[in-house]
Amino acid sequence: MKTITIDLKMYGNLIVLEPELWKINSGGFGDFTAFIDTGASRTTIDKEVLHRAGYDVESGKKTMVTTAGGLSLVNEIVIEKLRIEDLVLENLKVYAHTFPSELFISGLIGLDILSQFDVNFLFSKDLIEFTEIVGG
Amino acid sequence: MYKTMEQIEREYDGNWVFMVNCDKSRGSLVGGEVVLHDPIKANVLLAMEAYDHYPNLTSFRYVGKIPEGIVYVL
Repeated sequence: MKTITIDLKMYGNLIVLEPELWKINSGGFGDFTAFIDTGASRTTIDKEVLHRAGYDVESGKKTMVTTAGGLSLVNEIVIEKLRIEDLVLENLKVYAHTFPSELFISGLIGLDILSQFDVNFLFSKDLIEFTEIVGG
Repeated sequence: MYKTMEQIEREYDGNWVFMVNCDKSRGSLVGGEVVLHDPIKANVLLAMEAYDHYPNLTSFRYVGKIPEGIVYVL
């Protein structure tokens, strides 16, 4: 079972991650900032960031989602890889949505990703532990 | 020119930045080379097209504090 430990960083009053998105065009990873949102069932990434990484956002299946702010139309696409330190998730379905610049971040990491790990928030040490769930 | 995040946060406070040749440690960006910066997010995203085929680790992010009075409620 692999465990990684990363810095627990706050941005405003929320926990921010710095995941890396596989960029189809370049064959490398692009880092972006995203909040951890345990209240979100699905991970959402800024559609412009996805587009720049080479993903065909507009061809994704359109889905209506409910948020605290009401209903929103999003595109569901599959990203080839998402990396958090040494943990790599492949062929992830995520929602592509516009993130207004006033949010200051480019993604929300939801339970679809978090539930693939045992996640331990060590606020006393400013650390987060992600442990792969084997056979889960 | 490679700079640490401390240097970048000081120099580009309030800007969206695009960086290349980035380094990370424990899941956090340590530094990189800022090649694009602008207070307007859309301007940086548009200019990033020139780096679409850049193979090394890149980073796109806002650098700076959240304006006072704004609280996130997800």
